[in-house]
Amino acid sequence: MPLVYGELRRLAHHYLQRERDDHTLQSTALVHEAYLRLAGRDAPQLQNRAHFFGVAAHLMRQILVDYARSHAAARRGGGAYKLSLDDAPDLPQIFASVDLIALDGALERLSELNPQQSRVVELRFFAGLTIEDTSKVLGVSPATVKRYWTTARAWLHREITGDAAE
Amino acid sequence: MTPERWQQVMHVLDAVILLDTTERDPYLDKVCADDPELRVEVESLVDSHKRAGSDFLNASAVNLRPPVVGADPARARLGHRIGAYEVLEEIGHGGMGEVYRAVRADGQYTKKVALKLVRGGASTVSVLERFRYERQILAGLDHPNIARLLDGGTTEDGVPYLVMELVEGMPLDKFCDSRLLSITQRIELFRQVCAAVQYAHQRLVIHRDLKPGNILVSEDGAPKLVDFGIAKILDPSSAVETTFSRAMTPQYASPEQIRGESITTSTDVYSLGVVLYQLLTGHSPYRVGGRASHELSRAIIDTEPERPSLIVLQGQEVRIEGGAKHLTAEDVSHVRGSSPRRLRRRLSGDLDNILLKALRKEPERRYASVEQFDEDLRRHLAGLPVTALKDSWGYRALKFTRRHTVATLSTIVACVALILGTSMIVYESRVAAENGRRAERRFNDVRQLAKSLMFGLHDSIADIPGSTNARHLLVTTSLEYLDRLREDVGNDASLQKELANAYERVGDVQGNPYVANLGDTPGALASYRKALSVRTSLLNNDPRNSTLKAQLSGVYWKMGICQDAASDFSGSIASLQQALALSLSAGATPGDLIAQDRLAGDYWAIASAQRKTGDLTDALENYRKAASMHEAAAATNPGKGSAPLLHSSGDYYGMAKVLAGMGRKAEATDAAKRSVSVLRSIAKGDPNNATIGQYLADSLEVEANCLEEEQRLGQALESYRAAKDIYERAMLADAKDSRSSRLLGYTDMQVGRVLVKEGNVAAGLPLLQSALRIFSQLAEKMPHSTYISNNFANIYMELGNAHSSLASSRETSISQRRAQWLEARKWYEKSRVVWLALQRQGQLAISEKNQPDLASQKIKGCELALARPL
Repeated sequence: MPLVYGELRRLAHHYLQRERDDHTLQSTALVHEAYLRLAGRDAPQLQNRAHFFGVAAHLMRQILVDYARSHAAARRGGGAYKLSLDDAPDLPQIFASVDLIALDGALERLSELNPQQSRVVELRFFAGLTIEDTSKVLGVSPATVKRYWTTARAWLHREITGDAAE
Repeated sequence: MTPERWQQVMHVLDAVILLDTTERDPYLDKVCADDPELRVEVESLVDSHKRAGSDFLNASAVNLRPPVVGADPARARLGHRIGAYEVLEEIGHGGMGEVYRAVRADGQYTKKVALKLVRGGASTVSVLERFRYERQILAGLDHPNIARLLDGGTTEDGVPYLVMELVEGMPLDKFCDSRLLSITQRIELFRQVCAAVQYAHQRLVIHRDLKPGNILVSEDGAPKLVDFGIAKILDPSSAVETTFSRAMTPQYASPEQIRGESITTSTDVYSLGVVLYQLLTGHSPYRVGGRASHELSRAIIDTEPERPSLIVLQGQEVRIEGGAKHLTAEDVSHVRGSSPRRLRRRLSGDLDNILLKALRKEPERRYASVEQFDEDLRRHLAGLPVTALKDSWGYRALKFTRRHTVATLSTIVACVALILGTSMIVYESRVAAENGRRAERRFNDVRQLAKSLMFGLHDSIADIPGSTNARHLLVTTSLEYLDRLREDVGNDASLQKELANAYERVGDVQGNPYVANLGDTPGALASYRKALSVRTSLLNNDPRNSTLKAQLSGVYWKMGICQDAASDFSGSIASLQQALALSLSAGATPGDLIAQDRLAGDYWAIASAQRKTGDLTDALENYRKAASMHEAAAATNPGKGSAPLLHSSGDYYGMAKVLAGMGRKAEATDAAKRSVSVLRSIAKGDPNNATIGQYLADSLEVEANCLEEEQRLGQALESYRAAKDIYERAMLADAKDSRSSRLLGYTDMQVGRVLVKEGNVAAGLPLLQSALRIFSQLAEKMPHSTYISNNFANIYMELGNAHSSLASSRETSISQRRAQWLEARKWYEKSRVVWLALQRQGQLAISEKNQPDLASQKIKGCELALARPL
């Protein structure tokens, strides 16, 4: 999967360049780094690769949610302050696009309804895999991944924004 | 909803979404005819599907950052002109924007300046406001110790910028430490800072973010305050207050800043107090790990700072790049040109009182102005009495009664509690509960992270060759998370066990010499020590628990092994004796394979350390004990795993070395052969097991040594080559595996050496050179390892031998002989230098104690040869 490889490589480079002082995002870079090392070898066994992405996607979710939560806590906690004028990194745009803490909770609930579906969202959203790659990692057909993905998006959107509460 | 129901909903939903809008209703009519609720649910989700549009979750989290480095607008500024300035390089960036080194392009002003610019996407109204105010504030300040504002404006694309005097200096704390300034010198320097702050206060400017990083000291020792970025004009009508009040650096923030209360000049007094506290003691006034900001803010509000004169007697963990290190009281006093005891005396009394007065929680009880703070410091230096007094219990009680005049009885109770040392932290209960829940969630997040890192991701890559680099990063990140957890883990035994397991695991990956590791022995020991302290406290709470004893024994054992690898043999034996005592106390019944193996392993490890200190008789006895215990365990538990059998091979391996050291050559060869044959039989059943392969290679080497001693050179060479094959295969799989490469270097050296000894220098020399290359590469990676130094000393010696052999060879032309002797002498000299250095550091093994002399003799030999007429 050269496309994903290139994507991750570029990002890893980018993170390392930019996020000098930001440990959290370095952790994301480390996942990419781990991937680079794997992908650099000729034929990593499919099982190892699937395992890697499975864990990596989950890890990336945890890292980002942890990051979001710590910043939310810092904003609300104590006397309410930002970490530091000098040290506060710009929150990645992801925090503007979706409430990660709410998404995390909703994914948790989704995994009770259909654990596989929650994994699809992790792999697609948190690790950036395509439908095809996701299907390889999970060992299900692309059609199933697509169905899971479409319906999960609708469900998650309702959970997070409270669409249904009319 | 149940999973089954969701399955049903999902099925219909998916079908509906794929249909044209006009076909949806008829389809739903049909499918949901008997189930109106299903229809409601599906329609609601179809609606959500529409609202989600194509954006929701579709841009993946990893793709959301700006994709190309060059597209970063701030970076694009390099080399360009802004106003009259040419941007030279970025020198920093913070919450507000980027800072560049720049120079006036029109030549009007040749000095370099600092140009501060709003960062790309952050040009919000509040940031623009901030810049405008910062400009106004700074323009009014003209003081030799405050960085000057020179210019300001807006770029062509509307981004505001400030041009300031460029201060090339070191942060205050680093400056003082690097110059080893004494307490008096530090106070004198600090007083200059006070004068600058006082000057700003007189112009109604509060800095609000005083910290060592904002106080730069130039080469000539003049401090300069920079970054008045969050200062505000002391004007109650200023609208800036709300915008700015949230930006500050927690470590130096005052209680009122944490609480979000109003800020006065007293806030700067407090922050200056923190700065001076650190300058004088090397410690932060609050003992918080530093990561958990909620804890830090709680400490700032509730906890009294420790007396400076007491805190300097304590060590502390400080964060450095790539981990943490332990800073001792000696380290702290050393950079202050003092000893811990002298430093304590210097600080106790006046300076304790002055610092604690500056750090009072209530602004009205601190120094009323920076000037008064400064004056007290002046009086102290001049030997005059200072105004700051000890904060007495009487005062605190009085203050407490005054606050609670209504409830007299409860006041008395509270005072008693105070006297008993009970801290009274009164929180609004709702807030406390909310904070508690949040803290718990955070804790679980971090715990999950640490676990997935070490036990999830690590496991998924550990067995894949070529994963060393990734594992390095894993270790660093895991330790960060674990250290955060450690601060919060409390008394929960199951969490403590989890934490200890994780620390041990990290230690193994860092430097357990018996697994593929990263070669970081000090790091491994630090991690094991953390595991040790957690396991010790677990056992103290449950002193009869033999599982806990066995686990604690295990950590001591690993520490011993690591200390052994770092040539700290006495430390190693001490750790291992602890391990043995705990294993004995935990007990080992004949049926308990693991306990028997553990006990035998303790004897084996002690024997190994004894062997290296030259205590051969005891070593031999302990090896024999270990071997018979291992063999008994293997015999009584046939088919229950090969661990004890495998370990017996290690006992024979050690025995071979001891016997060889005693000069009992034939017995030594027998023991070595026994070790090799056990391992060959195990390797046959498990040919891809890299660990077994490495053990086998080790034993082959010893066998080769023994054979060589018996002058059976042909057989010895065969064994060395078999070992070299194994390491080569391991290196092929992972070029960064430091253990394999060290050992490959070692076997290269051995094979080369024997070839030279056999008179085949042409074949031997390239191998010796290859060994030298490998050691040089490793030395860059593992500067702490004495193994590497030993290897250098040895390889230099062997290169000397190879060249002197060439020099004496009949095949070498007469004209070449002199060059060969010179070459040989050069290598012997290098060898001697390393041996002597090792000797000075007390790192010579007993078997090596004659090596420095041997090198000297060889040098003499070369010189004699060179002096001889050709």
